[in-house]
Amino acid sequence: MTTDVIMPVLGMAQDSGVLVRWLKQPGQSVARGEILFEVETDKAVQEIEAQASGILGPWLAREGEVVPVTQVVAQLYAPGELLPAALAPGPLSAATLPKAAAVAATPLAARMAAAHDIDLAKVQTESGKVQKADVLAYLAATEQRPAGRILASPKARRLAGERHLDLAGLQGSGPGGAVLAADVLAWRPPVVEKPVPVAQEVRPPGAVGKADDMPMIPTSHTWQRMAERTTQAWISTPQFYLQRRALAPRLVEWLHGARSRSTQKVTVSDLLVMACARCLALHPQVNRSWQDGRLVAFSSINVGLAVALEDGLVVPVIHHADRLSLHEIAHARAELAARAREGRLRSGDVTDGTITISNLGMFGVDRFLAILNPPQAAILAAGAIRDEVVPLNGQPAVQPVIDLTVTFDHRVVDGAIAARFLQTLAAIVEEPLRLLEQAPPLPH
Amino acid sequence: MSTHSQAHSQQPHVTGSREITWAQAVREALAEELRRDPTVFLIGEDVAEAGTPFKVTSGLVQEFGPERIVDAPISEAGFSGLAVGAAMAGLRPVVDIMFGDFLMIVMDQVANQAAKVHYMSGGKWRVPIVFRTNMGATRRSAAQHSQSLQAWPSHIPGLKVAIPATPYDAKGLLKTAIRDNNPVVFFEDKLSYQMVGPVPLEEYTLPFGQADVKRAGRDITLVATSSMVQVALQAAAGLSSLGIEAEVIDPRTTVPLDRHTIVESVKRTSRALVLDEGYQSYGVTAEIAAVIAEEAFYYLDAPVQRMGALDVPVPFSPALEDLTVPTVEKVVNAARLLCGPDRGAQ
Repeated sequence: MTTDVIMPVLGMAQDSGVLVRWLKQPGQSVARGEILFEVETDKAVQEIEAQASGILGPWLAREGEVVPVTQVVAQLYAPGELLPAALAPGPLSAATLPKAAAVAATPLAARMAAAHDIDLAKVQTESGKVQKADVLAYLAATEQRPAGRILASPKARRLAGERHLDLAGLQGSGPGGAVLAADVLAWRPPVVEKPVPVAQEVRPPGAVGKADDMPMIPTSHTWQRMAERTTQAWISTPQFYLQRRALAPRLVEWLHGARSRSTQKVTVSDLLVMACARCLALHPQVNRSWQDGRLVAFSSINVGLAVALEDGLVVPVIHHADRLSLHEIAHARAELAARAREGRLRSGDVTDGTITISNLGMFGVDRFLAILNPPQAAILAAGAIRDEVVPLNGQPAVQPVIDLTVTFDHRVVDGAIAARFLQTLAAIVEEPLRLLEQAPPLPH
Repeated sequence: MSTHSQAHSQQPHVTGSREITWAQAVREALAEELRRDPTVFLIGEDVAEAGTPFKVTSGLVQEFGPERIVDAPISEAGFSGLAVGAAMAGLRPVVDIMFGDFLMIVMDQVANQAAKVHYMSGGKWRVPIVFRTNMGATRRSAAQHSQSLQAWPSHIPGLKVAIPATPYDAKGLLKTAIRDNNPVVFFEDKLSYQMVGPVPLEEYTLPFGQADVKRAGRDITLVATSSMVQVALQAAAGLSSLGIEAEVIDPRTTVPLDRHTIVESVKRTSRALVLDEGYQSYGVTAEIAAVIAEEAFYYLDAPVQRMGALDVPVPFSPALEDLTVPTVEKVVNAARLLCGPDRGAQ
């Protein structure tokens, strides 16, 4: 005759227990009252005594397993009773256990998982046994996954709509992660499109400590935004890059001419703003944005110009740049840059850009790849204008050149559209007089 | 009936500054109107020599005599019907219904007769009558003397319903009620009769359908009636120490209801908690919450919440009775939840 050994009910509201440890091996002789195994409930670990004497059969529950109360975890056989061969004494291998028993979890974690209809096997744990915190982390991760309708208060929806913000991109602070009005109002427009080269202390290999051991550098709000925005753009945008070298003697000539004729100081950036604005007008496919799963067109052409500050990067925007004269562009750029350095930028100064120009030519950078500035579809990275040996009419010649690299959002443009855009840009740089031609896009 | 009140507090401008009890304020309102208009008379149980169980009408019979301060037998349906007829014949009765719970007995006179005569006579008859009664629990009066039934008459077209929260409001609204050519049901909180508040020496009336902003705030709107106004104000003080500034709006009349002031407040605060001592289900709170949801939906940052009495017969046991009504603590907790985890977390 055999006696069932069950997971006991140790508490009022207890529906399962963790079998922490077996104290008897299968095949071992057990006297009534001896400790068979230990059980952990949310309250304590308790030792469970044998209710009868006999020989312990195979373990039907593994150490660490969550077992529903009253479920049989082993059997005690009468002395001399033949054990079935398949159940011969020996440590229970994982393979013989039912699949559901494979996950170890605390009773609380198991109960939470059951309440939320979560498969414990999907919950990741570092301790080897699923804890309450692991279930909570799993819940948080799955809740944040944008599936179906996004939770948001009516006011938050209205505010987001008025601001043309995608609710999916907002971090909700309300119940269940619901987006509240404050979350919408706390959102700040993108002000950053690429990391600024920052001189960093280089530690020898092996000397890199953990973050905890390293001194923390205080960062400004601007810097924080730069970190967040570049991370978001880098992770969420399929970016590709096109590069082209343009001969720049006519651009340099234009620059010197403009400087001699204008009381306002004219920079290479000003010329590039004008060129980019014209290019967008000629290639409206680039003046678009991928938002909320749809392709939308910007209604105006506004060119942002990256300005590096001590405490981060800002991108003041020259609005309607396609309608401005070079003098007006230079004036607007100078004023915005001054305001940026004095920390007096208004929100209207940094919003609604539809393309960005980052010019590192003044630092002697030949060419570089910039990170997109969402929701824009393109950013121009301009290198230094410098003399290079180039083939000219079959002969080597020394000419000023500029390397133009444009980063595109592949959801908005494909390679061909992007290439035509860059072709036009290079053509204008090589012959700025093209700006005077109200011509359709260049033939391709 | 729609009104567009100014969202400012109608606090009394007291020239001769004094503070009197609610009972005194109501007695003054009755006496002034009895003096002003000879067609006004008072009828009810124990209104003359006894001055009602709450001593509100004490002394009136001495001044106006038993013909105008009429002690009626225990026959609410009878003397209410008498009064409705008197009103149709040109008098202005103020009917005293000793406990709001007794409205059930006179509901046919109130809802089927008084409320409908003007309409059914094609405007030839009018019924200028006031049913003065009370509401409110926690007076250990048990299930048949503790209910707050203001939702009942508020549901009937043709009735106006006043539900004041201060001695000042009670006096001003009662005088308006007596002068109104329509039937008015007037609810007073039983526990308020000894409440003291500023009431001007000079005569004044208060318009119906004009809510009073009892406290200004930016974070949450507490719409509260009658007994719940004091609860809301105390809760607002507590919330203020937690960094939450609550606005307290007292509609003062449920019919007509000043939707405008309520809705405009919620549009500014984006959160609303509606308080009324009537049973929560199908109650005044439900109506006001619905108004907010309809007219301020796109300004809401949290679900509109209401809080009324538990849907149970009011227990006689003091310990149990106190659990059935909204309390300062419950209001503070509910408001904190509505304002979100970041607010009032200290």
